[in-house]
Amino acid sequence: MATRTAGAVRRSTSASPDDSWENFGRAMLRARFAEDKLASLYRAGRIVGGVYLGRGQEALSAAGGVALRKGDVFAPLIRDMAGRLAFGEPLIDVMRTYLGSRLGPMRGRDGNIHRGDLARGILPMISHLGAMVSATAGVLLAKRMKKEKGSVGLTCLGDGATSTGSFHEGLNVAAVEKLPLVVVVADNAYAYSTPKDRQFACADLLDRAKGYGIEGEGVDGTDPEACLNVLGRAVQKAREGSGPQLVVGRLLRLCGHGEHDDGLYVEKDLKNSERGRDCLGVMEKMTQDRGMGKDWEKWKESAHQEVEEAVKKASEEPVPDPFEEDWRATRTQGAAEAWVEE
Amino acid sequence: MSITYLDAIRAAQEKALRDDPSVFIYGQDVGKFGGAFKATKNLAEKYPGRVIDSPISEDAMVGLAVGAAMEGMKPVVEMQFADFSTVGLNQMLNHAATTYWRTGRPCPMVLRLPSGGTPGSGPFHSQSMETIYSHYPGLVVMTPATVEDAYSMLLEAIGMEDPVVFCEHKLLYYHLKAEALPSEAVPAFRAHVARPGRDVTCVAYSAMVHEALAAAEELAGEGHEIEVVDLRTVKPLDTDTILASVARTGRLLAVGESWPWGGASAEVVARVASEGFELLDAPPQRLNAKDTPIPYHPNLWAAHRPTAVRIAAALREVLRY
Amino acid sequence: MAKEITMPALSPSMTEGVLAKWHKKVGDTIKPGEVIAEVETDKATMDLEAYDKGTILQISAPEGSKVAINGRIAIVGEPGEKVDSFSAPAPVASANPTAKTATSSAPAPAAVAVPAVTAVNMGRVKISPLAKKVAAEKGVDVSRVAGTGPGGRIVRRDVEGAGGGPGRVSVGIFGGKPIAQDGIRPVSQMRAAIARRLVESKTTAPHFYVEREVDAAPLAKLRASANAALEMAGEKLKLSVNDFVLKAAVEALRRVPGVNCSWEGASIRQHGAVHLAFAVALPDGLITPVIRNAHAKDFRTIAREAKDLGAKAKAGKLQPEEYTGGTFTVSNLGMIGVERFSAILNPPQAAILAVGATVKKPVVASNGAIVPGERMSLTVSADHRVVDGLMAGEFLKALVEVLESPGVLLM
Repeated sequence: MATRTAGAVRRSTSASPDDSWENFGRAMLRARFAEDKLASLYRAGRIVGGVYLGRGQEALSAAGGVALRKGDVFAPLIRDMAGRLAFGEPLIDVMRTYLGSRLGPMRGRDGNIHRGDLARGILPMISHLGAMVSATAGVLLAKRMKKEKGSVGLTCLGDGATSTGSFHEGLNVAAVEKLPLVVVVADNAYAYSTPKDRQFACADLLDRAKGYGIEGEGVDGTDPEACLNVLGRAVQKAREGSGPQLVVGRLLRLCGHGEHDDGLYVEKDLKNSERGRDCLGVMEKMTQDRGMGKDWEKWKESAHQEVEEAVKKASEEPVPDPFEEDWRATRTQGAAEAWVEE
Repeated sequence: MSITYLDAIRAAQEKALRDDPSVFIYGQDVGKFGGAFKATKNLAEKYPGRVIDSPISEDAMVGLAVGAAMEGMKPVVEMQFADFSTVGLNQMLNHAATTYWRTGRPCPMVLRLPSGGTPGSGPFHSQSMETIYSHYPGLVVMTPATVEDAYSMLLEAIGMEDPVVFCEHKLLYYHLKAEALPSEAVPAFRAHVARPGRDVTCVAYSAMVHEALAAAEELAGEGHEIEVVDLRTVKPLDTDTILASVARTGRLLAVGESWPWGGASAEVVARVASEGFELLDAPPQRLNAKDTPIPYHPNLWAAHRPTAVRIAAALREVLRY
Repeated sequence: MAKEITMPALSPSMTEGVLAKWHKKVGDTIKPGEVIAEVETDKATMDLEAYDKGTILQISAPEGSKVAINGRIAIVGEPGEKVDSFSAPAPVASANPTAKTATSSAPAPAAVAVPAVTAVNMGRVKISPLAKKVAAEKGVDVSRVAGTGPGGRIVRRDVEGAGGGPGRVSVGIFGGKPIAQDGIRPVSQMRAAIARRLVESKTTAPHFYVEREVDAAPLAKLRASANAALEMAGEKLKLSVNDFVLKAAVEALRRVPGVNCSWEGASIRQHGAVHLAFAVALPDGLITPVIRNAHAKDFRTIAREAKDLGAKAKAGKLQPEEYTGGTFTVSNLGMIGVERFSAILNPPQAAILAVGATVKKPVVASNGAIVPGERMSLTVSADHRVVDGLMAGEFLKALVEVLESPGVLLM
């Protein structure tokens, strides 16, 4: 194993994904600690805007991220800190975005979970749920037309987002075009406060795959090993040309819808069931069972350090200056009109 | 050789497909069938794999185009009717139009909208959508009125880095003809003085340019010289040309086929009142369709939209000053 | 270095929070990440974590108090540091005021004085922006310019002048002042009544008109000598042409009584008495006082009553019985130089006489020569439902005969 600085994730130089247990575990830990820190900062009033966490969903999200490789495209949604870090988003970009540094990938023009980096293949989401499905499909269509072979697109959303027309149209068109798209639905039983029975009438979201004429597989989202296997399989199938793949992971949010929300509407029985167990705790045990208990501790320490460093660095960076901002929404010369301001 | 407005649109798409391998056309029935209006006739055969039939999914059609544009292609999306583009409005306004602002990477795509009313087309096959698309920042909105402009402006739109909404007028598709395609292009963002005059500046775009010209002809018989300005592109608006014209005439009438509230005509009036206050000898006016959905029956439809007769009457009112 | 701890925004919609519980008091130390208080937001009760480390020097927001976002809740610093360098914290409102009302009463909107909308020119010149600019450039005084735009607005052509001259508009010696104050006035009772009655008359009664010129010379002679006699007798009364016309009208009616009628729909009322109305101009309109039973009054009485009623009319002191009930009206515009006119019937009367000024004009004498003569125009408007052309002509004939042999009037 090559040496690495605290927190740096080794990206493969070869064309295969880095789905090593270490990469997977570290992504989950870094995500958890980064989000704990964000929650803390939020409660100290240091973060402007909303904070939405993926606590409890790290295994499912990271499993998708580690299955992808360079050249693939990733369209994360709200609770995909782990997937992003696994796919290679630098932690400093996370903290820059939340803490309002103008050096962040969105330069203050968009924030928190809307961040993306087209150069890295991470699509910056728009708020309208389901919209990223067709956009990811479009990227894949373009790659195909450019004769780039073997790339996969992976997009995540929640059970609630599957109700949108955008989701339907996007998945349908991806299926019609037989694009290598993996759609990961994190079924955490609630969309904000709305329980499943108010969201859809089918017994299992997985049933929808049949409706679109695509393959699908369900997975226990709290079981990291199962997630790794299922996501790996789905990405592989897509890459081999089997068309879109639907993965539905069952789990629970271990946080409110946002950090302003106490989530008290979640049914107690559900919360206390197996579905409500913490995947990170499971991951720790699984890692120990593999004889890597000491590594786990090292990974934890390294993750903490990386988070602290990123927060410190981002806090010291300049914020966007409205007077230095280029207030133009178009690039073409003359397309942005000169408005008389004063 | 006679070329229709529609022929020009087809010719422009063909040239784009030929010259730039990153261009592709995506829309309902555009492939073998050649499009509902035949704007892509024979193109799928000539350019296999690049003129693609889509399902009836305007949201996904535009979303797909956004993704493809992010990945370096230049999609040209044909909506079957402008009116249906509202289903894909979110992807256009919130995705395509915000991509450059949010990411620094432009989103080069063209959304072609068969727009405007024809007799009997009714409320959902007649709309002019330029106002809504112009309101959101990040888009270019073009409204060509001539065969030459349909050709050269579509080419310019396809070559543009920013997302362009290209409003083609259905009434002009088959009836407007020209002798030849232009060899030189007038830049899209420049308005054009379609008829010089001295007494009133009549600003119009798309099919209304032709109505305005007919009204100008009528008023010439009464001794008034009306200057007709064809906006060509409504966003960005060529305020310089408009103001220069009002400086010559002192009077303004802005005509548009869309509805009155906050329309492109209202925008022209607002700008001239604000930036050209001292040029005005008369209150600046606008003339638009009635503030109701577009009627189906040809009698009602003809009374609903501005026509040469209504424009002439409005011009006479302005000439009282 | 002492620092403020402020109320954070713990939800996107939060504008203020309640400091529900303090976990720390003055003198306690805090470190980053430690929960130091609980805050009640609009959505839930949340933990407040410290970002700084140090010692609590001041609890600025006591438990139960409501604090706006960014309002101070505590001061942290080194032990013993002074805190008076900070200005007083933003006022905190008690979370449970006893006098809290369910709905806050909005302040009553200030009474806005809406200016009365009038079209009266408030002293501003109506002018287009362009004309104003051109006027300023050319040094033209716009208050002296007549506007030819709608509503009298001055437009460019008014300021530039016709024919492309040097720019000054020639306005003549009266300047460009409007001929009257632009404005509107409400319709008075009198105007409304005139309007109502005359519209009804003109639109229901089929008017027709017969006209003659009378030789006014005999009347002029008689009047002159009668006035001379009155003066010599020391009488104040001065006789006008109209006095004679009034009496003449009565005599003509005596000879052609069919004209002294009213249309009553299913019947025609013949009046035995002549109640003679005559038009008097007033500042706001006109009124027709009535000389009652003129057929039974001599010339002098008629003349005197005409003067008295006329004066009363002008003073606005006529009683209703003095201006109603006329059976025939005489209207004379001769004093203002009108040569000839036709009057509108005074309903329900069947006829009205319009008298013009006496005019010197060439006339044909009995021997065929053209000689200077004095002529006065008489026009009778009649209601064709009651009076036919022949009768109207006969009445006029009688009137002319009486006026041309006016001696009978003095009887």
